Amino acid sequence: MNKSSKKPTASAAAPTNTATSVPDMQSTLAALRAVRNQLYAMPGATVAAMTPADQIKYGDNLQQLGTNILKLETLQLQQVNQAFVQQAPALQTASMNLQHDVSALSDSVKVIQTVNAGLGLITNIVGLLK
Amino acid sequence: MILVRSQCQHGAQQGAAVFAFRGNARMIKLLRLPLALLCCALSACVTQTIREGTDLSTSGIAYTQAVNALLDATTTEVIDFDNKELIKGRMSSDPGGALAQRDQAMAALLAEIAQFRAQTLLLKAYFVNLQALADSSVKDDAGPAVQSLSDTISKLNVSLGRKQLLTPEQSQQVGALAGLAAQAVQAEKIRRALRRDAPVIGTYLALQQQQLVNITAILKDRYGAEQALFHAEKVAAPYANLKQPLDPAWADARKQWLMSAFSNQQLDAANAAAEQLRGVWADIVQGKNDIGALSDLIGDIDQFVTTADALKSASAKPKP
Repeated sequence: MNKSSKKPTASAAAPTNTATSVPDMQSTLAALRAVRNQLYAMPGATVAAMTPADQIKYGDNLQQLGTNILKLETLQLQQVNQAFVQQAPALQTASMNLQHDVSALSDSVKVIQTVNAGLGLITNIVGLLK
Repeated sequence: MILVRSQCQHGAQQGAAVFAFRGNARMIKLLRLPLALLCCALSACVTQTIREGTDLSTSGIAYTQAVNALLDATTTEVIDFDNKELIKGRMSSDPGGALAQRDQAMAALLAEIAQFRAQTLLLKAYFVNLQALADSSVKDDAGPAVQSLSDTISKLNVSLGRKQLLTPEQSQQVGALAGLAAQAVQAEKIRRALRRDAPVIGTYLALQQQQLVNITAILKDRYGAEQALFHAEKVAAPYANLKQPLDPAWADARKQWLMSAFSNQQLDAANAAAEQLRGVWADIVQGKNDIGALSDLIGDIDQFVTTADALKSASAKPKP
């Protein structure tokens, strides 16, 4: 793929562009929530006074709205979670680097202690040879 | 701050250079005063950097714990609300099919919340490692180790028939200096880690902010719908129904509704605070901001969770 082909064309940018689809999803979700709230604002007594057919319509609408809201909310969370997953290896590497830094600090002390033990042994040997 | 940091780095380099003179008792005697002054300056700079690392890691851990609590509250609320909605819409053309659809949709939402929780725990693991680096006991361990090493070298020198290199007092000073040098290395590691990891932590916090907006929007939506229902059934309907006398508990119901509405404003404030988190964090990493600002924001998120719990308790109260 050459460099110029990476530039978004007018036709490609229109329906699939994330920047435009996210606000659309947000406004769709807001609209669904508003309609659901209107149904919620009907007192139980009012719903109970409706004809059975209207009560079924009310129930169907509430069920459908609720399910669609859940699906859109899931999609919103999913989009960000996918971005998280892409970044996760970098964060894990950063975390491991910190662990190495901690190990390196304690290792340097261990080296000094080992050298000290070795020199102590040499001192004892020199003492015995005298 | 940048100037102070530069001085800190310069001090650390000087400290390492002076430390390279170890073993030369005469040199140490000559350098005793400047050495003491340098140790004080070095110690102050280094302590500041290590304290910064400790504060950042502690705040980061507190932040991830606050988000975790928020996710607990969200999970409970979305499940409870969904159950209520299913009961309210039970009178439908296909209750079994609607329930199956709803189960699937809820499971998918909860899986995404769990995924966000897993990412938050990954962030927490980073801060835990940063804390381990900041809390390292290298200063306490390195000092006695080097002092012991210089004692051993002196003894070996005497055993080999040469003069004693260091007196016990000088050996003690070398140990103390070694402790400071080790602490300078520790501070430099913290500084380097913060610089090195700033982009990835910045990106993670930006995503956290974005996801928190989504999560708080879900919570606010559920509370808003519950409040609307509560007002319709317990406040508006009884008041408008002139055929029935008004229950004395009506006033309490209205008060409860008004109080809940007030709490929702607090949720808005907490949400706005969470949006600022990334910027504040970036400022702290660059040394432009006080750690207290971040603590305040974490407090706001905690307040968010407390408010959410309070709302839950209020709506669980027996209705008038």
